[in-house]
Amino acid sequence: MIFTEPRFLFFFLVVYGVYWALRTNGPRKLWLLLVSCTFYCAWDWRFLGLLLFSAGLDYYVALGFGRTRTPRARRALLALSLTANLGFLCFFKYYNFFVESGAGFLRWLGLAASAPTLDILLPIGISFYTFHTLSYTIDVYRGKLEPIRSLPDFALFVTFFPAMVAGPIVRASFFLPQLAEKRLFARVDVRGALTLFLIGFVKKGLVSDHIAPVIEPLFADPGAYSSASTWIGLFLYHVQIYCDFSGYSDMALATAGLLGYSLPKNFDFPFFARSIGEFWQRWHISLSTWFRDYFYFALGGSKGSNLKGMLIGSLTMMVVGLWHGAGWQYVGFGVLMSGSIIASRTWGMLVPEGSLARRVVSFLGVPLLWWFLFWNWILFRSSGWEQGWEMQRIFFFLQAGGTKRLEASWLLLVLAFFLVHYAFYRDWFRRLASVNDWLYAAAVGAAAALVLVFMATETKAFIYFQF
Amino acid sequence: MHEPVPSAESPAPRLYRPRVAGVLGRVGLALATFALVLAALRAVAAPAGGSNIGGKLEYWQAHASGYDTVFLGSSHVLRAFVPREFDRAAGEFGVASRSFNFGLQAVHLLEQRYILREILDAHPRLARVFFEYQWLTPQIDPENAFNPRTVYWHDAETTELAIERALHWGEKLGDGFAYFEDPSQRHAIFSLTQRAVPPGVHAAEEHFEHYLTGRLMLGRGKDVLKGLLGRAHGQTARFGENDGYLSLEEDEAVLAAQGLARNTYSVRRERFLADQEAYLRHVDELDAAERSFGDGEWVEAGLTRVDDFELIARIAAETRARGVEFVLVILPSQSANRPFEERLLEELGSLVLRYNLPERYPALYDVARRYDSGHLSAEGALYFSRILARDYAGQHGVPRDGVPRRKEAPQ
Repeated sequence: MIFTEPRFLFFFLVVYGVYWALRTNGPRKLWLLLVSCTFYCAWDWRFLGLLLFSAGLDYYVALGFGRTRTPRARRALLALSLTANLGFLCFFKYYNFFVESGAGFLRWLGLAASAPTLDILLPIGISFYTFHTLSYTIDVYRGKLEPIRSLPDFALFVTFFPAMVAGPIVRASFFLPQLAEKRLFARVDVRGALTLFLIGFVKKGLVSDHIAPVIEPLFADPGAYSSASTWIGLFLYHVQIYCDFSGYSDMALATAGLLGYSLPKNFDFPFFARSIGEFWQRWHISLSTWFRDYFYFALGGSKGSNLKGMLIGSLTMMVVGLWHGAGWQYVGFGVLMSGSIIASRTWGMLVPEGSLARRVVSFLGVPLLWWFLFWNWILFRSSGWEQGWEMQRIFFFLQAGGTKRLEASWLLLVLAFFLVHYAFYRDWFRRLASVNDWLYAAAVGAAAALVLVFMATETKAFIYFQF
Repeated sequence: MHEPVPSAESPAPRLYRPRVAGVLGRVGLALATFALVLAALRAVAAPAGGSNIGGKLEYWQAHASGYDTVFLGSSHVLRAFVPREFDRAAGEFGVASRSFNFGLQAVHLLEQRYILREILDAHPRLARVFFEYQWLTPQIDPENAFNPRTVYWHDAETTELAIERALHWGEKLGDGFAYFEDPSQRHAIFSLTQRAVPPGVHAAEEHFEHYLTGRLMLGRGKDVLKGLLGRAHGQTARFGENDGYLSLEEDEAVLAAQGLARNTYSVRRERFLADQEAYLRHVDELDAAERSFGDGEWVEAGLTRVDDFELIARIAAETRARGVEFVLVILPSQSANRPFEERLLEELGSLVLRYNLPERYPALYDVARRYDSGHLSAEGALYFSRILARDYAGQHGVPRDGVPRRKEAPQ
């Protein structure tokens, strides 16, 4: 069930109506837990047990922290949680990749090896909910959070449907306190949430889904296109991936907001960043801050020498790359990002503030970042190494001709998108937020009609669902 | 400069203390604006159905008064009727005619009925309609479930009819009326519930979804832009040139001019040319009852092809009620279901002309007059148009078996 599908709108209307009709907090939360499980079953009911098992395990592990005082026992409990959660994640997501890669490496060494791969399906949302629950156990272990007493509340935190399948990655310390208090309808920013849902819908249904069929043939057969077409395709993908993922996040935040809950912000105009570091502060913020707090800091990246910080930083980016998927292209994506972190830090150390070189790079920051991101998108989007290499060759070394082409007129749409995006960035539409309720209602009606008419007929799954 | 985030926890959210009347009023206003904008967009949009169907309808709406005869059907019709040849030959046999080929690729019976109504609405005084006999395919091909082509013909009346037929055949065919399941949704909870629903109800539900999709104009943005820019579907010249007829050989030439080597018809032709013996074997077997022929092998069997007499009879009666002659034509590329054809001849109450009879019409099955197993070549189309004109003109001499016993027209 995708947020832009009509059935989601019907589903949500029922959820919303019943939720606010219930008068007390307990039944409301139970209702949300029930519909969250139903929402998950709309993808694949077989993995609901796994999801609830993960939730149950971490619930009891955290209670165990409260009852156990010896550091060794606490560490054992933490290890149990980490092993189980990361074990499930690794098995479902990475088993075949590691087995195939290991066998390939042995064959490369000249040793006979076969890869006993399994026909494994990836439980939807596992990369997200695993990180939800881990944030809880780690925070309780660190003493930053009290273990929660209510199992249904904890299960609701893990399964909360707006954020369950593709984020944002919600930390227990952010969400659990919200469950303790009754949500008040009077405090719900209905207008803000509706506007945000519409914005997300436009990004997904009108932009991302229209671009998807245009660039699919390019990534499937990159050798058939010229460098010019490849660049046009990468511009389009640049817009598509942002609209797809941030559109999902907008709708998730809006849906949660209509139920009175907050979710962490996931995007903050990443394409206007001027460096790779700034980009990660604005792109998939909930993931990058999760890795910063629970991986980079945990390994001591913020302490000690610059070299150590750089190495741990680049290791973090490699893991972030691999988080996105089981494939060498994601490793390559991570390596590129790692390299960029090292290069960026080295640049910061070697080139003095205010120097001409700094000013030039700062001036060219956005286009340079885009160029670098295009390079990354090739790895990120390509269906395998071979296509990735082929596309990189065409991206770097100009190739004319080609049997297929993408029209340059697509760039006009990219330009139009960025003009609107820039207007949001500069907050030029702020005044519209203060129109009276009647005008707002009329505008929402008109906008909804326009969105439905101009949306793509084929609803594509969100790109980040595969992760 | 942040992306907007609604938050129940933000420092100063608007306190929303609605009064019921105010909320209802604003919801009503939003719905009214929604409906108004949709109506405005509908008014300016180019006809639905894509450039082929919408374009042909658009041409017809502008030029209908210039014609008195329409051939309506699938690609078999599009490639088989040459209007000018038919008019010329019909004139020789004493029937004045100015005809238009309304053949549309892969049209099916319910869609055909919808188009027929559009045709008649634009030209209520039409003299006659040659209507290709088609199966009913009451289920929706899942691969094309939300294709504009699947959606556009779902107006209220046709949807009601589609639902009625789906429920009727769902009950009659039972398990034979297979339910299509998206493999990626096999373990979704909604698929479990759908499996429990009788298949006819499931198909009916899909038709209703398509009706809503059509009413809400989902994804019709391109048509709206075309309408606003005054370009519509831009096919007028193409349809006007040959009165709607387009041979596969011309298609091939267009493809070649565009640098495109093949389409689905080219593939079929290659297969046809490579294995003519198989084609001739099928021709020999065609006189047997219930024989699948021509494009039969391309049709998704699971979509359940139904010979729906009631529906055809209803379409014929509706057409006659509007003062337009209804002629049912069984084309030389169609399968045989002899008992059903006999029933058509006996009970339809309209002229039925059968050409899926190789023994009677060997020339129509001649390899040289075929583009592939299911379609006539340009030469075959000229020939067929002539004998159809002759047979129609001699309709009063057509015996009860629907097979005119006159000499074939000169080649």
